[in-house]
Amino acid sequence: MRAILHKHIYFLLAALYFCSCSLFEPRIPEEPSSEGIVWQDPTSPDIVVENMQSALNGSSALYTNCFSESFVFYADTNDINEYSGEYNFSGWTLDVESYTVVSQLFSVVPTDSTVIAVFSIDPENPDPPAPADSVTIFRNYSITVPQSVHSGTGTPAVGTAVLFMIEDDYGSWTIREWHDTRYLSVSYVTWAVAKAAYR
Amino acid sequence: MKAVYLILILISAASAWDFSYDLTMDVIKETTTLTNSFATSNAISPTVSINGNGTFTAKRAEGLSQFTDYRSGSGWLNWKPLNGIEMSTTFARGISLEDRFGSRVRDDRTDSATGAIRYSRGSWLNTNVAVGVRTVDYIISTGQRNNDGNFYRVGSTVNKTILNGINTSVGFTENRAYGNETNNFSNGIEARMSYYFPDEYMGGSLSADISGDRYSIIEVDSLVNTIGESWSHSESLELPVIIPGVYIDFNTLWSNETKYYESAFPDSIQVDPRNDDRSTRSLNSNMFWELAENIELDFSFSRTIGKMEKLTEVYGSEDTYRLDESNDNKLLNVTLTYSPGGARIVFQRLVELYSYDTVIDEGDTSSIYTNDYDKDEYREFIGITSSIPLSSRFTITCGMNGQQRSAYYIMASQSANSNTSSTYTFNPGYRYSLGSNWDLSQYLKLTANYTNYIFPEYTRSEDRLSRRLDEFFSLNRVSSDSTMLGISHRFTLSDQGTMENGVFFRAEESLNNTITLNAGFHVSSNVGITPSYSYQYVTRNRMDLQIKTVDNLHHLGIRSAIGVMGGTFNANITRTFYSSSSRESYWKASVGFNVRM
Repeated sequence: MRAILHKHIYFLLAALYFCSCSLFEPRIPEEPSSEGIVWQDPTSPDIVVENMQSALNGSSALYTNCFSESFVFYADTNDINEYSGEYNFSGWTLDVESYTVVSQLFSVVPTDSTVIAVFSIDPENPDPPAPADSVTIFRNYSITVPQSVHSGTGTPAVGTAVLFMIEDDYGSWTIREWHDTRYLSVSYVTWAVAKAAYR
Repeated sequence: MKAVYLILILISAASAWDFSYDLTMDVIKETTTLTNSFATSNAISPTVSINGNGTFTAKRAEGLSQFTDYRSGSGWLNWKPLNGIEMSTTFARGISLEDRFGSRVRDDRTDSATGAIRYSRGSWLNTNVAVGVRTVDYIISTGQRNNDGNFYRVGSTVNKTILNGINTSVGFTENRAYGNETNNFSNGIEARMSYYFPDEYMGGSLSADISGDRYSIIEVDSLVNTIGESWSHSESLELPVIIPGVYIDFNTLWSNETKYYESAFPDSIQVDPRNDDRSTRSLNSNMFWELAENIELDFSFSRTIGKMEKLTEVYGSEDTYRLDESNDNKLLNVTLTYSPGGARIVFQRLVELYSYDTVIDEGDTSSIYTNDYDKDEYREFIGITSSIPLSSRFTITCGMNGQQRSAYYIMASQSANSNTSSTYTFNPGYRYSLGSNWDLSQYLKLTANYTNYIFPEYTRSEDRLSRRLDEFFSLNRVSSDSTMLGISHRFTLSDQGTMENGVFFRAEESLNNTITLNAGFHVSSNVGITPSYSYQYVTRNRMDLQIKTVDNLHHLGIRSAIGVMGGTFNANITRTFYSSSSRESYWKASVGFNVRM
């Protein structure tokens, strides 16, 4: 067997060398021009919302780290009915969320402006204490994305986000489902409509 | 729907029929899901059969105040008047309902009747033609709508073996659906070939596939139609065995999709310049090498490159801007397996790099668009796992691995968030078979994760450290039907916090301790029931916020798998109570029944 190992040792060395060759060399980031966002380990559902708010306000790609790989966004059925034919709300996965928010919505924000996102606890649906493995929490939101189609300055996207969250084996929480609910008495659009214009 | 019922009645009255039924009900905390489905068929004569199926799914989510209800059913009659010719008539219905906060927000109903002819000549020609009518009713905010109409579907495939061993196949499809509101058209073509090397080459094959599709969505009252086109080709090659013990294969994929809009009327001035082009190229290769009788090397490399160009209209003007995105994912995975005797030792090395780039072309717009989200995500893993039997009953296991994940945000506006996360794991354990289906096992797992920022002077977040200890012990007797008797214990202790100047400041500590008793027994030879009780103690202390929570949970469960009426009934039901009366108890249950006759 030793002879066989000697015979193939060169191949093994070549394979190990290939693992560390320049094909897998990451690029070097530029020197930062601004501070990073505040990011905490998501050890509870409320921290996930705080991270999401921080990422939105900093127009950071870390926004997508708040969601699980199996994330699905559900628009309010009233929005689906009202905007049928105009916008597509179906199959809203993490890839769609990343494209519409990070690649598109953040792009339209002028460099001298910022996104203003505020998430607040819904007084009628307070958070359950110390949830385990999964939980549904409610957040009223107001999100302004300057220069965007529907949620520009003065016309924020508003509504209630019903967030179904899960906890992984290491105690980290992520959002698996976002059920968007619109205020029927307000003329502003929801986050679903604000994003769908860029899908 | 009456036709479906009629068919079902006919089926139930007939003597020679096949029937299957599945039922599943899941309750997880405040969400309940119920699914029923059945399928049945009845051969009335050697040339005539009657068939039906149906599905009913309901989901209630209390927290969302949501109730959804999906129902679908179809019945069809098949007739084979001549060898190679099959005719069928199908009636189908689908209903989709949703209530939110007590109000009906979705009510979609679709009915269709279809007549179809299928012609097959030998094994080389298959032709399908189907025509039908349908009614589509749904509600939107302005009231009831419908999109009634008719449709047809045509498809044909020709298979032929040429040049003494090359299998070829060419096919096309054409679908047309006309409605009051929307017309949906699509066409597709596909060609395939495959070749298997002669036996003397000891394996080896070659295959290729090329296809193209075009679809259009025509809104009857719109001036613009949506057009989509796609094409792709893929090839795969499995090399003949030139060196004994070496197996090599490759496969590639090229695909391109484009979506654009065209005027509904040739002489119209209405234009919509938006477009969406996407392309993907991928290469996968794998080499499996039997280096010796008990040494195997698995070497795989894959690369996928995606590009997307999307033209977007600036709201309120006719200006446009274009966003070009590209991504490149490279993955190398090498596994070396050594299996002396009954032992197994696996060494793994993995490297992955995902790169993402964007370019914005502002065209003639007066606005300035930025996209600073270019990034590289790098992952490197090295690990070894082993399972070594010291005797026929006693096996020790051990695993060690290290992983580094880095996220590099390239552009200056985002690069302050760049970070590297390093994780190290050590995982020893053992298994001991006591005989009579009794097994003893225990393992320990130590994990440490350290996350640091590449530009600490620009970040507002501190470097972070988390540590975790997992311990699991089990002494159980598991019968072939999963009935379980014994005890198990799971313990987890973890803490995390920030690192400042090499000093660890703990922000949070948590402890989770669960002990479970399984009291499984058999009522009869094929009925086993496992009642169980678990006590769980959970504490979480957030020192940084001075918040400490302590929970005592009691999980009462029962699970069983029972053979009844020719089918199987499965149940796994758990009710969880908190010692504190202020916390609400909850259910986790899964009940299923399936039968085949």
